[in-house]
Amino acid sequence: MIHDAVLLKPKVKYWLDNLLGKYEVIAPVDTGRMIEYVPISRGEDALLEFGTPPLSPKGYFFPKSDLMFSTQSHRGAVTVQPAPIEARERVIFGVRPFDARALLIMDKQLIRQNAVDVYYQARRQRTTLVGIGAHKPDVLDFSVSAGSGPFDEDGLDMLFYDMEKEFYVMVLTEKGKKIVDDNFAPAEEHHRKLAREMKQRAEEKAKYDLNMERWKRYTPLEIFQLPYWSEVYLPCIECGACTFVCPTTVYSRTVDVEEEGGRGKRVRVWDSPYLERFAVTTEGYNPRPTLRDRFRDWVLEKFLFFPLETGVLNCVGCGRCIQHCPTQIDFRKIIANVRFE
Amino acid sequence: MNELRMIIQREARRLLDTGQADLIIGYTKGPTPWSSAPVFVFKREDCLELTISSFCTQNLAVFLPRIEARVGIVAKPCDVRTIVEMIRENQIPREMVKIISFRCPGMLNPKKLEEKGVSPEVWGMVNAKEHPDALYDWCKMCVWRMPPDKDVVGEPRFLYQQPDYPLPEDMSTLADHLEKKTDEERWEFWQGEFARCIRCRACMKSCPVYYGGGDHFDRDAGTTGENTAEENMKIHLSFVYSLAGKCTLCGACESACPVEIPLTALHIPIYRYTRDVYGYEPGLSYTEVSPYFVAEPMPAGEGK
Repeated sequence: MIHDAVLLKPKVKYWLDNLLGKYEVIAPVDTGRMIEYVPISRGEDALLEFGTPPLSPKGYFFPKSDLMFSTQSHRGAVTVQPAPIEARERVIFGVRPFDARALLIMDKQLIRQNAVDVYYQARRQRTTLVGIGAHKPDVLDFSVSAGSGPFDEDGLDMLFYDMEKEFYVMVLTEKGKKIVDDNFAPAEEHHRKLAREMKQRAEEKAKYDLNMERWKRYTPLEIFQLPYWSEVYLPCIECGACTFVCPTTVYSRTVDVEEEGGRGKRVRVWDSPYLERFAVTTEGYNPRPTLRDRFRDWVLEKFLFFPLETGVLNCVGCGRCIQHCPTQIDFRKIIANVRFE
Repeated sequence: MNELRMIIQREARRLLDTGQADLIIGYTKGPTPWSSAPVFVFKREDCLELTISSFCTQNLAVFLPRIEARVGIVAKPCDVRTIVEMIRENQIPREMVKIISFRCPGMLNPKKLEEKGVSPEVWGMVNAKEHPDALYDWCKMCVWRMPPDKDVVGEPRFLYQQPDYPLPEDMSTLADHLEKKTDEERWEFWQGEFARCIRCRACMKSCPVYYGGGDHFDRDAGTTGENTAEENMKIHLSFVYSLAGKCTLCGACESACPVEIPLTALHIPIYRYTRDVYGYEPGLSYTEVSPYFVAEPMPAGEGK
């Protein structure tokens, strides 16, 4: 933490209005049917109190439909135009702390040593993340058990603590320091004390015993081959809701679009391993032919293979996959109740 | 609801004991007090897991085609009607299915309850009698709330049954509101809704009488595969129109949507049109045929 401050709630809109001159500001807004992260034009549009929005700000870094390049063919010659890299600085306000942690997990998948997604990287660099802690964690929030938390500071540039009339603000990085203006007042010792208590109370609630110590006694292959996986997938209806609402998942597929006048483009769209055609090769071979294979693959990628590779879970415990599953499959339970026999 | 739970459990035990069913598909408690989840019961003692609440929005008939055993299934009357449609279309064999149904009070929308300030702790207990204004749109207009005979082997007999509790004055649905708008306004509304779509296919996969499975999200069938409002609208309209004369308004598609796209506001006008113009409502009998179904006689010598 660089320093801390206090921002009165009525002043938030003035602060955001100030930012709007220099930055693109994205904030949670009630758009009528759900709470969404959308670009705002007035500071007063931003919601200050909200639950876990159905979609995390993931789409601003890894859009659901992302232009890679466009082509133009003219008399047999084809020119390829790479997608432009936007440069405008932006601020995302109201990020849930576990969603910022999720971006760190996405970094591990998209910014690899020899394979850097330059578009993703540029979007990450030009974005300042302002978090609001979840002081009333959702019922399904198990972020503490997944290695994050309702007041997790990693990945954020600023973290707001909701203290009824005001926000206690932790400025965590240089990027965050740049957007502090004269609406902020110095914090006092009682704010810090209150913040510590608030964090502790929230963390008590955002827990679920995943019971994963047992996994260490078995090899990955043994876990992969457990008959347990042939039972738990039964209520799955093969949609991709859990994958698409997940803030850490980055599965994608490319489609080529032909347009009029010899123009065309290649677009990257979200994909889900639950869908039957996922990862099918051009010659028709499907590495995961049954629903059981696909279900097990997603769960184990998150809780076994990814941790083996990187040391952290591919999950931040936001609970969205459970909340938005049409058949309400409780992934926490599936992990906690693995039967090793 | 508590009484209903006991009846369902008793019936499930009877089906398993008498060997009429190898497994029971039913509802169990979901991870939150305002949700329910499907459960597969193979043993008599596990029947205690079966329950019923005002939040059983899934249509369990969606699991039937993948099961090769005799199944007892807990189904709301609208779900039973989809089973009739599935049997008619040879998706499942008639004699393999045993129905456990009940007089349905209607399902409640947790969002509307939240707006009313009904607190989460009691949500699992509430029912439509106390909060008729929180009913889902499709439950508001439902008049087939009684189940047919115990199974669907014979010709089912559904009884016209309106709710047995007073309904609120404002019974208008979103479809009614949209009908009052101009074409341009409606177009704008749906553009906005479908721009939000994340193409998860939850709507299509949770529908028991839709067999496309969302494959046309890929390049074929006239869509480019991009995620734009126009493409999403094309796909969803093809989904909705292919269900004309088959959709029984069980609402599984809309309640499955993670981004709250009100799909039944498209289904409801088609349902009403079919009912008012052709006098046909899907899933009520085997003998009546959908007006959209055209059976042309095969030319001699073909199709044998």
